Amino acid sequence: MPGYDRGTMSTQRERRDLALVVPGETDYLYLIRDFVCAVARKMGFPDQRVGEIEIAVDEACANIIEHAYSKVPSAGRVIVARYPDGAMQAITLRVSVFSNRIELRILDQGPDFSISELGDLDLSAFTTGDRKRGMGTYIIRNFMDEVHHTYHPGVGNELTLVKYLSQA
Amino acid sequence: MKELRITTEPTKAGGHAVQVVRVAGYIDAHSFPRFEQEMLALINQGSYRLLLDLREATYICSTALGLLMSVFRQVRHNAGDLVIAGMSDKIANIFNLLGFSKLIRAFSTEEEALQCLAMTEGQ
Repeated sequence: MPGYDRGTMSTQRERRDLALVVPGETDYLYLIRDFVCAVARKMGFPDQRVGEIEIAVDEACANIIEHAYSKVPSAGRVIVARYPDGAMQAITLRVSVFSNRIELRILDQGPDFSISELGDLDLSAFTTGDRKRGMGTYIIRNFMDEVHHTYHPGVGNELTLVKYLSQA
Repeated sequence: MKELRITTEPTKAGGHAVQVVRVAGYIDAHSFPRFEQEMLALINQGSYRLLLDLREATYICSTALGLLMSVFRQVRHNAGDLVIAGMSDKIANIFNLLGFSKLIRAFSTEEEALQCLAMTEGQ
């Protein structure tokens, strides 16, 4: 993929790569979740950790659909992001399985958007205030061991989530 | 993973009317609108004692959890309560991370949850 940086990737043996491409619509989020859960379970992550990976990936993909691929009303018209031939923009999930970790790369074709732009979360806004949305970023950051964002100009965003298999 | 199915059934606890909301399947960005519609309808009709049965819930997104907290505040404001029965360990883990478990009570069984609602003072 153009601009894809392999410089920091491990050269550990036994690495396996899988990929899933779905339309950028909420209808397909269940496929992404089922896919990552199956891979994480096979790697030996315990159920609770599988659940953490599941929600982190789902929240990241939902963010893409809402923010990068959102329908933007303009002068009364609804604009939906599409390719010139009418195809819906996609979400690509690339999963790299290492002996000690899972790396999930979520790629979109939207404008530059980093979850780091969504500021630090004050949970009290949800428990005592009126805020209902925005916890996804907090969940991603707390449930994943590493979170990295890269924007590839002319291509889109790449969000990398890493979780290590615990030795305990 | 099963699509969302929501059913609501009335019952009584301690002489008070209770609505039991049974959730099966997943609540994600796709199915959230239906869940939101169901919960807000209960609030709008004045049902403030709510039991959320999550025994068959397989996934709940953060937006739905945020809605639960909003509903909780509304029912408590009206002297009611929202309790949860049968939350899986996976969902409980997220609940705990967000600090919601300090406010919204969760029980293993529906019976325990109903007993809690029976003791809630108010209308």
